[in-house]
Amino acid sequence: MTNKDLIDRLAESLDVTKTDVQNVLKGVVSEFTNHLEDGVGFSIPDLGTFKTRIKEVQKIYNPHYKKYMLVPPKRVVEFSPGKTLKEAVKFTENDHE
Amino acid sequence: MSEKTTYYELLDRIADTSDQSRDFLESYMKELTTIVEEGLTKDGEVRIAGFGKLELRWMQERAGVNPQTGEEITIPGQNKVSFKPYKNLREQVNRPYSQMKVELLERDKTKTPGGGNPKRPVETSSQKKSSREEDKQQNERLGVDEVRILVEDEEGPLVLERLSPLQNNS
Repeated sequence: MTNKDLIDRLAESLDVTKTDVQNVLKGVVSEFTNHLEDGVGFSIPDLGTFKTRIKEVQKIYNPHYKKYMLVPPKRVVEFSPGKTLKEAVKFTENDHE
Repeated sequence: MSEKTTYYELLDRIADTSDQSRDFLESYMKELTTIVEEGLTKDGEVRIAGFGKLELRWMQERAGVNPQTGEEITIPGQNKVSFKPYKNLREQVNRPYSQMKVELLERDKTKTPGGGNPKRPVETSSQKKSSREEDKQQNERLGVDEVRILVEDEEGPLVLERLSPLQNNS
């Protein structure tokens, strides 16, 4: 489902214009981003939780240079699906690749 | 870093920025959730512009153990929802660390395996210390926790001489 499909479907079920849906979605996304940027997590009922996690420094071996390297810490976004979503999609037939 | 905001605080913030009522946003989010679920069931993925992509990943059937009884069980294959943030989100979230680069580790010649006496002139070690101090202060300014820079393996300690300077370009 592309962003366009998402907007079409939202407009349909909320009975608002696509432009409005799009603008609200922009606001929603920018607020999500702002929160995650500050390292603040949030949950959306039935959908799931978004939060950030700091990946620790790690030592790796680079076989090309035959040297050890240190990978710096990194802050990443983590998503864990809510129970409803998890259960809903658990056994749906998909292209399992 | 494990701060969390409540759903209603989040909705209030969105209501402020997008100039919509909270009631409308509540139904909007509910509908969004339903449609995301629908999209995942139907297409196996949902893309949200400027944010990221939610997709299904098929987890193969695997063997497991019931931790309570120790009995061996088979965990059936199932779908997992994974989220891949888009580049702009990844970069924005990682901004405090973005100045740090992958570093080469050199073996510290002054230290022998098993933590022997470091034969390092006093002058150098104090210099080193001060540069570490600078790093630490810079880290604090940027709100980054102090980074552990010592790693050890069976041949002795590996020491990173200095982390790349953390510069705040913004």
